[in-house]
Amino acid sequence: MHGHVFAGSVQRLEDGRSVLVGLMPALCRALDRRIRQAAGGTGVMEVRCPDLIERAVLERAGYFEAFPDAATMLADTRYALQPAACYHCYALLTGQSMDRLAMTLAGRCYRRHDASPEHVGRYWDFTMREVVLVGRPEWVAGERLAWIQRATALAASLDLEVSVEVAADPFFGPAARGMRVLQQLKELKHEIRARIGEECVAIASVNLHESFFASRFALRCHDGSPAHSACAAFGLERWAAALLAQRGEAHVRHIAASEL
Amino acid sequence: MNGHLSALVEFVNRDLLEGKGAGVDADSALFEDGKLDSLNILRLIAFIETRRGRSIPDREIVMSRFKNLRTIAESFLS
Repeated sequence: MHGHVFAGSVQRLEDGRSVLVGLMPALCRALDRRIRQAAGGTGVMEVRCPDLIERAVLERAGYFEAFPDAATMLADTRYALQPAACYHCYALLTGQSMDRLAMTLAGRCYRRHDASPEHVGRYWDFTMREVVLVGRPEWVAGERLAWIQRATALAASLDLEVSVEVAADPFFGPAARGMRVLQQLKELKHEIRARIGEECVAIASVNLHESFFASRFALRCHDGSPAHSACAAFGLERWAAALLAQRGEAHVRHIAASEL
Repeated sequence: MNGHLSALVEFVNRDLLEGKGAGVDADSALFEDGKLDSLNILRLIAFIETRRGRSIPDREIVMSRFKNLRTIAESFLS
């Protein structure tokens, strides 16, 4: 079948929603499988969560303070469409103790932001595969560095050219400048960036939260000390768009073949 | 210790840390063990900006310059 499927594209509609056509859905599935394989080798537990998340969870996570206009709320204002998959994990683990816990989950995520319509890589809705790490600070910090290496190794295995950069969340609202500069200062956020045409966009980010979420959700180590957390997040549509832009149809067809 | 550096040490110990804990000197690491949180980093930046008379762009707020109060004074107040 795959010989008849055209390469297609990741299209960005005027309002920011994304449409995948041709090989792109299969390519995203293939990319997701490769990330899960990388995670599986490290003993990560897979979970599946709803795309809807309680507003109360986002409030507890400090989401609205950091990103005041980014959430997509439902008419039933108790719920929002998830802006990232990892928030479910902190809520699921509330009040628990752990020294080394790694979870992975994927989901459709939704973020409104002020991207100009022509911004190729920024979508209102997108698919995120995440690995969430909670436990002892030194273990979380080490695994966070390992996931930066795993993400770049994945890119290398796909012949995708990337760079790793220290970053700060560009969507922090003006009131959250302190969080942004602290994130930048402590090098808590690393982005794996790839060129899509003229733009260089983040296709993955690896974030060390230290005790930020753990303190909000009462996550502790077994000895009672405060836990730390980190996450590695992969934006599948951006990986797909970057691969197509950098390597072309034949390469994409080869990678996607297993999912056709 | 020059005037800017001693003023920084006094500001951080008196106004940001409010005398709690061991305090900091010119060479203490500022961001280990959560000494300064996101609100305090903004107050520190505002203090530096007032003393030097112009703002600090976010891109210049990096660890090599904010490692301790001495590096801050050398980077922004000398």
